Amino acid sequence: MQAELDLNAHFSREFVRRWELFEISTEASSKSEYLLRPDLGRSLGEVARSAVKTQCPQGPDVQIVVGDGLSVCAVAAQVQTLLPLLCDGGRERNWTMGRPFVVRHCRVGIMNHIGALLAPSTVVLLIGERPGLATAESLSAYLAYSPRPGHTDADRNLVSNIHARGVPVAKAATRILNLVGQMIEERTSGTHLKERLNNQEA
Amino acid sequence: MGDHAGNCAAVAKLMSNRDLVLAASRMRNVTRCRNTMGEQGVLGIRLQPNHPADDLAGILLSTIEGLLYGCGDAVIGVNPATDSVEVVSSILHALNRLIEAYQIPTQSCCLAHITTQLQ
Repeated sequence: MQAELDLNAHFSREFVRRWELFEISTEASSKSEYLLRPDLGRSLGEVARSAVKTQCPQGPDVQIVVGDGLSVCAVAAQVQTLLPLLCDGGRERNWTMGRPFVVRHCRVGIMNHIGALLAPSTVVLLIGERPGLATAESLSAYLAYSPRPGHTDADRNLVSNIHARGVPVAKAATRILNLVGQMIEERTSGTHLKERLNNQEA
Repeated sequence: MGDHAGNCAAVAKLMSNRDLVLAASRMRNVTRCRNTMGEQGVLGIRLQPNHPADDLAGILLSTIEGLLYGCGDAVIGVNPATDSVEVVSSILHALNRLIEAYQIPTQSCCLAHITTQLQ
């Protein structure tokens, strides 16, 4: 949980270049401050806000964000496979995809600020889960339709347990893309929207 | 003062097991469903056979393992990994089949969002 996210250490150079990844930090200035002050992990300072605003296009259908959360290990293990599946899958569905970026010391509530900054139709946040259950490599995808300050978990949907012995990456990608599709179609997210599992999943 | 329930929840989070036992022993709250819970000197245990992929065989296996330790009399309660009607109903039906087949004096639940459970 104490490990710091490092783009160049956790992702290959080619991956960072291909997806033009850049990194910002929340207002939590260290991992220990992040653990003690959850509120700081949900807010962005002026530098981070302007970096996002100048480098990302406004109003995409899907804005993907990668956050360290409570497990850098999960991000390192899953994101290099998952992110391309989501970006390619989104383009196949003719959605406009925002420029993905990485948030250090990130909590789920950051989605609200990203929604306010970039006005995307949907935000997908890939974030490391608290280790200690089956594995430290488990990633979550939080999804929200048009997130704005004041929104809560009740306005979000979740695909959790993304790892080899939980929900495998390929299946997670399909579920995330289907959920984004449902959100765009029904123009809502959270408890109003129930994920439809249309195969032997259950 | 304004948020009594919230304060209690926060204090309970900070309490050790012994603190919790001591505080709870002052409150008697006997409830009956398929068995009786909350009587003086009686320990009740919840089984929580969660599975990262909501795999029914995995859930049932860890349920049986827990029952063999004598746990699960309070409730067999699963926190599903996926909050969907299909997953929740399959878990509830599987636990119910197990309880019926072995005539286990306990009850089950699957803690999905209340709106999912209603559907």
